[in-house]
Amino acid sequence: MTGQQGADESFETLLRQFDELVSALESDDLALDEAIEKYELAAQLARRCTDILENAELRVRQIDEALDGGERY
Amino acid sequence: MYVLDIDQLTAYLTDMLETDPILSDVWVRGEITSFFESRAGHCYFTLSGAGSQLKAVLFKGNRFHIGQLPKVGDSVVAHGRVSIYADQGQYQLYVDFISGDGVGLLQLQFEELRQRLEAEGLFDLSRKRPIPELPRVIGLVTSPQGAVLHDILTVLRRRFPAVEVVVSPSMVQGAGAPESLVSALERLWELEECDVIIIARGGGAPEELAVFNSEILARAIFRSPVPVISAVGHETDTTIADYVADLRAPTPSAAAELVVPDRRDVKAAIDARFEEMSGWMERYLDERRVEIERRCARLKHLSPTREIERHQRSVEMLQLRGATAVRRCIEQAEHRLESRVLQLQVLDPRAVLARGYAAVETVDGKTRLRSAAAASREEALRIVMSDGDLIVRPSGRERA
Repeated sequence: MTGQQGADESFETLLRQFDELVSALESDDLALDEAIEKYELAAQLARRCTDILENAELRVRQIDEALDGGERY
Repeated sequence: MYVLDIDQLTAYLTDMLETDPILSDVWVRGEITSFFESRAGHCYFTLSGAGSQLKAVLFKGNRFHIGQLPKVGDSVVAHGRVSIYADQGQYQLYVDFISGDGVGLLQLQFEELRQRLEAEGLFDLSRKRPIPELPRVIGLVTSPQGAVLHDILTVLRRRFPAVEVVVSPSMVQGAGAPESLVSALERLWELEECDVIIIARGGGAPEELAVFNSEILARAIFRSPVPVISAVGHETDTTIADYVADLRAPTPSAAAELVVPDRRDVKAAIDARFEEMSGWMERYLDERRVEIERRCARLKHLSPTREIERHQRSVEMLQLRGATAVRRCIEQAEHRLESRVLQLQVLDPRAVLARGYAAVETVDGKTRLRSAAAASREEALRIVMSDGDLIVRPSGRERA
């Protein structure tokens, strides 16, 4: 992928991580420090997701028969 | 020189006709001049042109494609293959689709393909795949020129720009367009990046949109490894591609609306989830706090302070009891003393004198006289009274 963000930084991935963290936090019987750590991480992810939503720019590229990958709009 | 028997010749001719690209998949137009339906449900009829005739047969197995059977005198368009009925040495059209000539050929071809693919299961709802809620990469098969690409990108930018679009350009009308569309799809598949593919074209004349009614495109959409959204023409145009796609969007812009959520909704959902999580965290911390408080209470209960206090109290109690006992001893002693004093006071001879008695002594006061006999022997007597003494002389003795 040739995006501005790496594959693991995609909105979808971040959102999924956020969801998983919240679910883990709410379902597991976590130790206090673990819970706090997860909470802070989740808060961070939520901020990053929101940030992406507000600031992301659509990434567009075109593939051609001849050359695979390249050319951006 | 070959000498063929009749069977060989017939087999050769049959093979020729059935492998011919035109005769094996042909549309014909004509008038029905005879019609016979057998008891088994097969239909045998003759199609006539201006100066020639064609025998035709419609087997029962293909009849479910056809709404109403034609009758003699109808002008029809039929689809099928030309082959030989060997028993009678007669070539004929094996019909799989037939319809009145009132509608256009394109429409007939469309109907024939639609029914055939439907029968094959290409449109089955059970095979429609869900469109991912949040695609990362969207493949877009469309013309690199024209408003469609611009419209779709505009909607995506406005609605949810946190995605990537891979445009796979294609011809969308004219000869070769179906093949171009298929290879544009294939190029996207090869990338293995797309979560969903939109195949789009703007509005146009039915002949232009017919590209999206091609069988090879339908089959390509059917075998796509990722869900396909079709967005061809306007809302009223429905193509074979629409039927076979996992989701049909009424227009290209609508496809862009359908493929991504509105970013405001997503943000609201994140906020709500975060709020929920914060609430949970607060409860979690409260629970811990209560737990700590409970332990503190237990600790307090177990503390030696209580034991010390208990001992202190019993020491105080002992002190109090001791003091009381001592006080009681003293009181009892005082009481005894007082009664002795009273006893003493009772025995005091002066007290007796005070009550009006008197003691009789010798004049010198040395001997107390205890009888009248003794007193009568004395010359003088000392009478001791409470307020002083008297010296008296006895004058005689009276009988007691």
